[in-house]
Amino acid sequence: MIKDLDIKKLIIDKPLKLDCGQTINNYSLAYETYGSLNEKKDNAILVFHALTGDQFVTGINPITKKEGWWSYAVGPGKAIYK
Amino acid sequence: MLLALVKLFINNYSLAYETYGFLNEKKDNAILVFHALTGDQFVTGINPITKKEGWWSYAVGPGKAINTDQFFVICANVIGGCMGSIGPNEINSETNKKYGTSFPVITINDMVNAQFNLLNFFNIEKLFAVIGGSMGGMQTLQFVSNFPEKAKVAIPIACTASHSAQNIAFNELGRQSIMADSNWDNGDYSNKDKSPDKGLSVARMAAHITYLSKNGLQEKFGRKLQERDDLKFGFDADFQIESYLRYQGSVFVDRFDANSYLYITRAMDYFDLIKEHNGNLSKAFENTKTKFLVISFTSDWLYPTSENKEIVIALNAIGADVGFVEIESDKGHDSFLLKVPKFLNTLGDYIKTAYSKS
Repeated sequence: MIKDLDIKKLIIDKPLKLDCGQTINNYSLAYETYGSLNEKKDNAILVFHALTGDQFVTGINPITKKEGWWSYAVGPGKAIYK
Repeated sequence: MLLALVKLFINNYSLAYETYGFLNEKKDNAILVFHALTGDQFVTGINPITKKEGWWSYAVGPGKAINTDQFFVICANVIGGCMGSIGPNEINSETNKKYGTSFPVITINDMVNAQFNLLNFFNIEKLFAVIGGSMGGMQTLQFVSNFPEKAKVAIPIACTASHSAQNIAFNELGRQSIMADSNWDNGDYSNKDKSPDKGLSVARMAAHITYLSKNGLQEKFGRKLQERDDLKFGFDADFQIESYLRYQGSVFVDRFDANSYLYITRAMDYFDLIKEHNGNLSKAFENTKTKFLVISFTSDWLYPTSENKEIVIALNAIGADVGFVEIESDKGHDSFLLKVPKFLNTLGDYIKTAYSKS
């Protein structure tokens, strides 16, 4: 159901040591971005999602075809704006 | 199992009941107790089926709030139940198979009308009192509404006149959990020698949380770990609260029938004494001379004080004799079943005084 094409992925080759003691390698981290990074690179906001959220914060979620989970808060002219 | 039950047969359906104490010569000391969702007729003493204390052992017995040295206490298993009264787990004599979901959907009104037959059976013209908590409280209200002349005193505890959306929601969660278990088999499991234990157990776990309070849970369990020094990074029970809920679920399936759970929760959901009287709850009690005592608990978020007060307001509006007490307790909805001295004293004093004045 989920089309990988719609999902941006960062492949991380730096091992991640987990709290449980195991280590994962070469893992993917799916992400999405909104707006543009300025030249000074001082305008970046990292948003963390909740239990059942995902990276598609605002606009139409390409998988569910519904509004992103924080569309009320994030977007042009909104509390966290592009 | 059924052999151990005392049964009264009326028009070919059975109503399993139990009594405590003795009916006096004047027959004016009878108290009909109604049980809650997962209760049964074994109110106090050792339950012969589960071998555990009856569900209201703190409140009912010799010298207790409902004093069986003084009163004749009657309690029947509700129809739809699974402790001997007719219900989905009983055999349909026409098909020789257990009813399962072919059993008709029943209501609180049906439960009360079935139990009314106990008055004739014991030759009791008028009960001294009708008493019950939670769904037992709903039956108490329905009883007085149906039979305004048949009880001197009514004590609905931790209940409501109209089942709320939140309570319907929790009941639906329990039902869906049962029906999601493949062993449920469209309700026909009991004819196939299997049972949806996992579904019923999860239903009980979810419901059990609603009977407690956030503060009570935090105080009793907090984040305490279950027989381990540290987290195990897996999905077995790390926390005591998880282990506790799993235990509650596992013991429940030994004494309760999944289809009964569906039927009884449905009856609770359908309960709406306000709608039954076109939006005016007072009309439910129009002609009653019954004395009421309504009791709620501060930490009960399932049947909160506000909903209990609606009953008091409706009774006040028609000048009925009604008292109201909100008991302070952090034990949540379950407070009425537990050792809450303020509650037990209030109940006992009221009953004693009301009887001596009657």
